[in-house]
Amino acid sequence: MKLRDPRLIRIVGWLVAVFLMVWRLMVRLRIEPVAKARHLDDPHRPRGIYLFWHETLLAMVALRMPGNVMISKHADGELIAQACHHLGIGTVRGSTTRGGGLALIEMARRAKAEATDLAITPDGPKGPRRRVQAGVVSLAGHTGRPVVPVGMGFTWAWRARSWDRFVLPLPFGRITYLAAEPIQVPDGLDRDGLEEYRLRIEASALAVSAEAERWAAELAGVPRATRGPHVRPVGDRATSPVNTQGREDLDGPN
Amino acid sequence: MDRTELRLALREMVEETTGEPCPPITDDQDLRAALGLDSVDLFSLVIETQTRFAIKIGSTELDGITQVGHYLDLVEAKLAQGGPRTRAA
Repeated sequence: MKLRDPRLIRIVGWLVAVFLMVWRLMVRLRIEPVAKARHLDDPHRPRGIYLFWHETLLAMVALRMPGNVMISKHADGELIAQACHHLGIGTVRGSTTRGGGLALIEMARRAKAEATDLAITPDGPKGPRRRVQAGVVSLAGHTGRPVVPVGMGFTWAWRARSWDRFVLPLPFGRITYLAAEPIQVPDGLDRDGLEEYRLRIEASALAVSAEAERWAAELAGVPRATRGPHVRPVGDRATSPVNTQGREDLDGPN
Repeated sequence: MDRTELRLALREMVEETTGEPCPPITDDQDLRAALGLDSVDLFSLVIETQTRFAIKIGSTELDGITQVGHYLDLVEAKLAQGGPRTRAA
């Protein structure tokens, strides 16, 4: 069933925000940067364009990063936008399928006017799943903001049977966040250049997602009694597609 | 800058954006479909227009602009507000 009534959407949006605030208290966040990236919760980190897969939209909202997130103009997007509004997260409406050009222009304007982060789900709102669309590359080139793909893993979560296999992290589970190295995109790229950077960003986003999922799987498999505060075993750094040097563990507030 | 020059400038910008030859354009053409612009191209076109003419175009100002003529009207209005300033090609 699709919600269409604007008043109902506002009410449900508020309920979703309340649910997220309560739910957020019941999941544990573990956040790591890689060598040149900085913690997502570091207020002094350089402002960037953060990339999250559409399936992890809820977990992204849980981070409550001050910034602007692009939300689709579809009815489902309106619900998420309302929830973001109540959580103090700025939204720009649009996607690659509806109003994408205008949304990119608005994101570029906010990048210049506000010292806040931008967040985009580059495969939303309709997929293909985990495929980066070219809009984010163009936006990064124009604004000069680096692109930071963020991977997420879940120790306990429910996945919908939607195109993106949308994730609902369950209470008392853990969410692992891993930020890849920022990718700076030159301005004025032609189509071939845009495609080259699109592929580079996509490869980085896929790699960092796989790494975060491995991390979550390890956390889920290690008995709680034997797990210390810094027990994440780092993989083979020489062969890992994600630079894991310089990691440190941080637990978000419970 | 008169309307014909503006239309010519738009055609040049479309060619720069898409990397493909653009046939002569008319005011009643659909801005995106007829010119072969996807959302990223439209973004690039607006950025290029802002740079070339030293004007600012807000995303809300583009709401409802579907035809080439509407877009040129907007650019003309902006130029009239701020004076005809064009970047050296």
